[in-house]
Amino acid sequence: MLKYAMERILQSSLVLLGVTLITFILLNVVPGDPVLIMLDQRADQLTIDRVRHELGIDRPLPTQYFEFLKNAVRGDLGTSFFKKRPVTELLSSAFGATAKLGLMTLAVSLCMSIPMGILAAVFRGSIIDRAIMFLAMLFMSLPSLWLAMVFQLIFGVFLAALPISGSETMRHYILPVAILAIGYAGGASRLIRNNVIDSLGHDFVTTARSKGVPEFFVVMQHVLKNAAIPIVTLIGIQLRSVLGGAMIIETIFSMHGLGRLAIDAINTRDMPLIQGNVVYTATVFVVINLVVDLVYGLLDPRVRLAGGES
Amino acid sequence: MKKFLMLSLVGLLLLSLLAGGVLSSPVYAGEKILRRGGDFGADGHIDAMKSTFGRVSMPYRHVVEPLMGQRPFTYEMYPLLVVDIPTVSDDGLTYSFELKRGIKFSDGQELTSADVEYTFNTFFDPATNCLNTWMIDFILGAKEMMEGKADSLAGFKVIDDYRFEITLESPYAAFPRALANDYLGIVPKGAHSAAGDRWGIDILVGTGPYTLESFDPTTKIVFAANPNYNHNVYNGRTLKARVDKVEFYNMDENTRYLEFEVGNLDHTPLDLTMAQEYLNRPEYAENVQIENGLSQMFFVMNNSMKPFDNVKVREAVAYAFDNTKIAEIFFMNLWPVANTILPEGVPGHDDFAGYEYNPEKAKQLLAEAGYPNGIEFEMTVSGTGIAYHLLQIMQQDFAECNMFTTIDQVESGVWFDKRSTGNVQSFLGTWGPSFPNPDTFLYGFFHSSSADFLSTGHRNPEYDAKVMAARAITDPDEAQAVYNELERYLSREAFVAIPGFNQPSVFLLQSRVTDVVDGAQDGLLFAGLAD
Repeated sequence: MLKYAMERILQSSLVLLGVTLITFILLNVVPGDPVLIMLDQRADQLTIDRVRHELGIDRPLPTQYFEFLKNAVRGDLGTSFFKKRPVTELLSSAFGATAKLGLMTLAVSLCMSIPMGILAAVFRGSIIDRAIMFLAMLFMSLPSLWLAMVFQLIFGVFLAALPISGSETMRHYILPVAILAIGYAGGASRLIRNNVIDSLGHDFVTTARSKGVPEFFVVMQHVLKNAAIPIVTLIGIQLRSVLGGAMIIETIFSMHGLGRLAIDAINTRDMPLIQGNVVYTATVFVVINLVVDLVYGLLDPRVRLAGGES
Repeated sequence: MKKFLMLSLVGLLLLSLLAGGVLSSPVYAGEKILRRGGDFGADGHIDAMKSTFGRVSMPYRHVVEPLMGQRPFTYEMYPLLVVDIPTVSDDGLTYSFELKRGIKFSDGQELTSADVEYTFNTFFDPATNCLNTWMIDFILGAKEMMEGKADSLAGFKVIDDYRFEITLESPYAAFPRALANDYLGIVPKGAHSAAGDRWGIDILVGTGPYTLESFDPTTKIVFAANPNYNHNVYNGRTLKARVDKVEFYNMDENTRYLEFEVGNLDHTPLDLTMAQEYLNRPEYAENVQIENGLSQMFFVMNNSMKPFDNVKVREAVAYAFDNTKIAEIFFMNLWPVANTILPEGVPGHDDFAGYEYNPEKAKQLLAEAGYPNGIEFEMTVSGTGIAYHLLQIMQQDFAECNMFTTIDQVESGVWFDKRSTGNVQSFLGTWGPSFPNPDTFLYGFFHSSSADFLSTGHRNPEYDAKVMAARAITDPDEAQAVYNELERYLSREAFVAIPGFNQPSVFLLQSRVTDVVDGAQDGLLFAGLAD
């Protein structure tokens, strides 16, 4: 297992290196000069040159990239061109809001999708199944932008029951979490239903039922455990997604998260901040993939064996 | 058992949906808090030296004050940190200032000439990376400092703790007015140098009516009233903060409107397309405030690019731009027509009636210019805001005049890349100075030094010389005559750009907000809230 983990970490480092290089090249290829954006309406050439020098973007591109790499391995991702703060400080500050939003979304979405998926599977073909699957399809189809505005109007303006912007208290998270969770729960409940249906057809379920095990325990103890691997995969995918930041929802609800930070950085061509965002997102993907793979091994001995043999 | 399973799972589902509802709401403990929505704080700092955006300078002004002040709406200049309007030497070069005694920064230090000297040196110190040096780079020694050839400003002389002189390279009558600019606030020597990179982030110290209480990067700025503020007298009354706190928010536009409707915001800028909607809603009609200001929108043609290098083509565009119709139909007269580059209230403005939309005249001028079959050109615009919709309307009017156009709609980064390198052929430009000084239009937008950066392509040494010479004029009548001559050149002789509209400030304001008009600089700076 240790050898396997080391191999994955090495692969991950190469992935991160590739991602930073591609991002750096793209940033320097696409139009949009951060200095001209920064200076907006009026500037003389002296000021333009001075700012360019100050930001370090008057140096040759290879020098800029290797400087970035050298500092990055020391944990220094540079200073934001516009926000004038260390990128790591900005990322860690935004990470708090994103993690809070993301983890609550994940929890609520699982609390919705697992019951929905199991109920639909257990009552397969019935009106309950059809109603749940209709709901799931509806959840998946609703654009979060539209849903956000509708929820703001209903819960924020007409009912005046919930705040519609900010992230000061837990109440501020209710609407954004609900909107995001609805989107995630739709797809997740369909996947869970299919896996539970698949597991319900196995011999061990028939055996358990024939031994008189109550249906509740059949489903919760035997079926759910066997349907767990796809669910773990799903949690991994959703976790990567929610920790990457929810650009639209964070913007609409005025939350200071990674998604919004990324949008600001892209709009202003804030290169260190874009690079920092990309490094962070890539790291999240790589780490979660690694964790998911290791959890597979714990859940399914066959995966462990395959890993050991390899 | 299936029923039990179903009940358990449905219960879990409901529990998850209701999870957040029991948590508490924020409590504001009866404080009077004025809340303003916009894109404040989006930059992650509030240091006006390092920004060119109003979203930074406006909150900055709550804490850091410039030497001179300017009343809102009337643009009346007044001495803010100084005893009187500075006197100028006979040669128009040296201005003498005297600071008011006893003004203290919010950290308790008294304001002295050393702080002003430090501030001006900091503006031009290359290490500061100040983005607004161009506003006062005509001070003697400024350029040497910016080039790293000097450590201090040759044109700044400290007389004593309260008196100092500033000498210019060449006369500039509007210099005292320039010092009323929000971007040119005076910072305390000790606190600013000690703060280093944290200035404008965690630390902001000034003489202003508020102090920085907290700054949640990119979302919220909170200012608390400065109880010791006592040096701004207006109509015999000392102006003070009338609320306990002012909060500035960075919010999505639609969210701002909703927050206003539920009463969580007291003030928010209003998009023109939404203004009419709110005016049509009786419960909000009185909350819509429209203030004509100094911002002008004009159609800019790159004078260095074909076909606009021909003055007759530019004149033809003047007859093809139907700003009267657009003001009536598209702007519903919320944006008035502007027929001159210089807006009303600015020296040099006159009541020119403008050019009527006349396709035949436009075609005739094109033919005279050597384009009997018309011209083709590109109009560039960033985003999909008002300018984009205007260009769509103009495109149809232009086509009637044998002017066949394409709209190049680009993302903001691409826009700056093209515009600031002189590569935009035509566009709708907006210029909004902070005080009624013709020089900010005539030099700021149309001087040859802006030809590439603003894609005007306008290079005329004779015009440049006249603009620079006009800076020395102190007599109002002479200033009116000279600036009017320059105005006529731009809009009626050389047709450098075609005036379009005056761009008012449109916003939503809660009726509980009081004392707006007699505030200073920013009309809401000393606003109060009714009980």
